[in-house]
Amino acid sequence: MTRRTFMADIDRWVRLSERRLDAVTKQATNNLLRGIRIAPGINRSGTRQRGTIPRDLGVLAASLQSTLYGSTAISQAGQDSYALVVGFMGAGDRAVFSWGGAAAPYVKEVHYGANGVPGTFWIDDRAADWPAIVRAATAEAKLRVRP
Amino acid sequence: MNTKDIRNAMKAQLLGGAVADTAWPNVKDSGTTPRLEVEFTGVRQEGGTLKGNEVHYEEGTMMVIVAAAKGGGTDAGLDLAGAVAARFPEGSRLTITGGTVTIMARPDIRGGFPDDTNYRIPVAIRYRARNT
Repeated sequence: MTRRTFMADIDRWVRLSERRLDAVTKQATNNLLRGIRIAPGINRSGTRQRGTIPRDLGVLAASLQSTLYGSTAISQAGQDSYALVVGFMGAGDRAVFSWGGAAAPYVKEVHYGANGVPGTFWIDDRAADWPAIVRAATAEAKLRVRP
Repeated sequence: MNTKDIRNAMKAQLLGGAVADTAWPNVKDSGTTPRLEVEFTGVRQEGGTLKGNEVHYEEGTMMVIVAAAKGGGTDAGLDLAGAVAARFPEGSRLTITGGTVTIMARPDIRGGFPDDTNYRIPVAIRYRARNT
């Protein structure tokens, strides 16, 4: 009798842990990408602000390509394309988010700077927030995902 | 330790190789080729004391952009990027006033791209500084 209860506890603990891992993966990825700021660029009376995607020539922010390699394989393009990928993500999946491509081949010039105009480094700047984002998502999952 | 000490230690380490003309943050580049352009990005700090200028912990990336001649192939630029990376082996430590700066990962030599006058190769150097 005791043995059966112990096994049931283990099963319940494993299921709960898996749900929490999935929740942290989704929440942290969503917060990471949702938090990237888009600012008016030089062509729109703005400046190049560190940590932002400048809306200058129009299509850089919208060139986001979100791809999920994992239990579900999907790829989507567009400024909010990460939302669909996040919806299907689970712990252990690999996802790639990139800007540029044929729509905005100038992405590196904007990110790293070129022709005397400083870069905005939004990818490196946002990646630096990843540990804090995961810590916050973990705390949230502990509260939200309960037995 | 403070931000100035941390950045000066990183700059001194880079300059120790005397690899090329260098443009520091808020200093106009010379326009010569090849040259290095330095930016600090993704910097996160914790104070830990009530002294406003004191930094207890800092983590960030020193981004060194190698600006090589355009149209001459990638070898010269990559050689220079490799020389920059060699100045910062993973795990190496720089001692500064009141703290230590540690290189957290092997420097990341990223894909190059051309602008109007140069071929530019970013080298990302991740560091972490702690007070002692």
